[in-house]
Amino acid sequence: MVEGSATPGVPRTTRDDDLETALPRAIDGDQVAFAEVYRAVQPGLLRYLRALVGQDADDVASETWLHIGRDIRAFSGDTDGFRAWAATIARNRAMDHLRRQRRRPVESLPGGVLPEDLTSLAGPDDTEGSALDALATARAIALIATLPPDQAEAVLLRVVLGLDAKAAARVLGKRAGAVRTAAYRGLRSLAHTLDETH
Amino acid sequence: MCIFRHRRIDRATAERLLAGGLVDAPDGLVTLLAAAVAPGHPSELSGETRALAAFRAERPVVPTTRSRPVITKILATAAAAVVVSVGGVSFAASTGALPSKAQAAAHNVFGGLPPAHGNSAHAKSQHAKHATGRSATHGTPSPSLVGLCQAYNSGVAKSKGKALDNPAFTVLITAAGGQDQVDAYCLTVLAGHPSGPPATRPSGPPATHPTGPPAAHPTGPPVPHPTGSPTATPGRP
Repeated sequence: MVEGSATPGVPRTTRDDDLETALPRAIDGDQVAFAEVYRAVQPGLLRYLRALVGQDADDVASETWLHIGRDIRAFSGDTDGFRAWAATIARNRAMDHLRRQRRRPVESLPGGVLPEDLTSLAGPDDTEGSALDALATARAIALIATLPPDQAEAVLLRVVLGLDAKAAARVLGKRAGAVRTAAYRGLRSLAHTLDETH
Repeated sequence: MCIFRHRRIDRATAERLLAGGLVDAPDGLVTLLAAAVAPGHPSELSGETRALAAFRAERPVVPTTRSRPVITKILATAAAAVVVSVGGVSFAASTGALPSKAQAAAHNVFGGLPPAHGNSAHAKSQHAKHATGRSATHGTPSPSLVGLCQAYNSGVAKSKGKALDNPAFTVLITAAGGQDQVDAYCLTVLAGHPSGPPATRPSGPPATHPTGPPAAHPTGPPVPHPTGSPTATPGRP
C-alpha cells in the first residue's frame, strides 16, 4: 500500500480511511457519513463505469447510488466488502443498461483517445491544477478502456476500486486465477502501448 | 534483457502494481495507474445530492419498490401495523381510517398471501426487523389508532416529527388532539391496550385484493444483491 502522493507509485489509500470511519455510521443511518462514503467510492465507481458504458456512466452511477442509498442499512461487511458490493451493483446496472441499449461495451467507449494523447499525461506530482488532473485521469481510464473488456474490467476493479483478485472475481463471476491473468495481460498490453508512444 | 524490461512486465510485478505497491515498473505504466486512481474531481461528485436523497428517503421497515414514492412506504407501514393489530387488511379498509392510498399500499404489500398463513402472520414477517415475538394480534376498541400508534412508534421512530406530516397520521393527530400530543396519546393508548386475540378475525383476503405477489424486485436486474456474501437484506421478500 502506498500512502500519500509524494512517492512515486500508485496511491491507493486516498479515501480508504474516510470510508473506514464513515461506513459503519452510514449503515446506522447517518447522512453525513453516507455523503463521505459517496465521496470515497463514487470516483472509482464512475471510472469503472466509464469503461463499461462510456458517456452514460453518470446515469448508471446515479442509478447505482439510488440502490446503495436504499439498501446500505442492510449491508454488513467491511470496506473491502462494501466496495465489492458497490462494484457489483454498478456492473449489474451497466449490463442492464447495455442490454437496453443493445450495444456492446466496446462500442460505447469514449472515442478518439489515441496513444499519443498519453504522452501529455499528467503525472501524480503535477501541480497544474485539478482540471489537468481530471484530464489525466480521464485519459488514463480511456486508455484502459481500449483493452479487451475482460482485461479492462479486471484492471479497473483491482486498481481503481481497490479490490483484490478474489473480490474482483466475485464481481465478475469468474475464478480469481482468470481475473489475475486478465489483469496481467491488460497491464502488459498497456505497458506495451505506452512504450510505443515514447 | 534490459531492452525488454520496459516492454514486458512479469506476473509478480503486475500483481504488485495491481495491489498498489511500489514496484520497479515502466514509468509510463506507473504514471497511468496513478492517474487512474487520482483523488475524485468535483465533476465526478455531482450526483451526491441525489444519492443523499435516496438515502434519506429510505424507510428500512417495509419492503417496497424503489420507484414507489416515500409517502406510500409510510402509508404501507401504518397500514401494516393496523393489520398486525387486528388481523386483517379488510378491517383496516372497513374502518375507513386510512386514506385510499394507504389501503392500496396495504393491499399491494399483502397481496398474493397464502391463505393458510393468514394476514396477521404475514404482516408480522414484514415487521421481522422490528417485531419479534409470537403474537402481534390484539383486541381493542380502537384498533386503527393502536395500529397507527404502533407504526408511529416503531417504523418511523427515527423521524417522528417528520412522520406526522404524513396524511396517514391525520387520524391519529386528530384523535390525540394535536401533533404535540401524539407521543403522550400513543403512550396512553398502547399502555391501556389489552393483549389477546381479536374478537373477530377475518378469514379470507379482502375482496379488493389485487392479484400477484408484491413487487419484490424493484428495478428488474436479475440479482439486486448479486454478491450475496457482503450483504443481507432482512425483511425483503
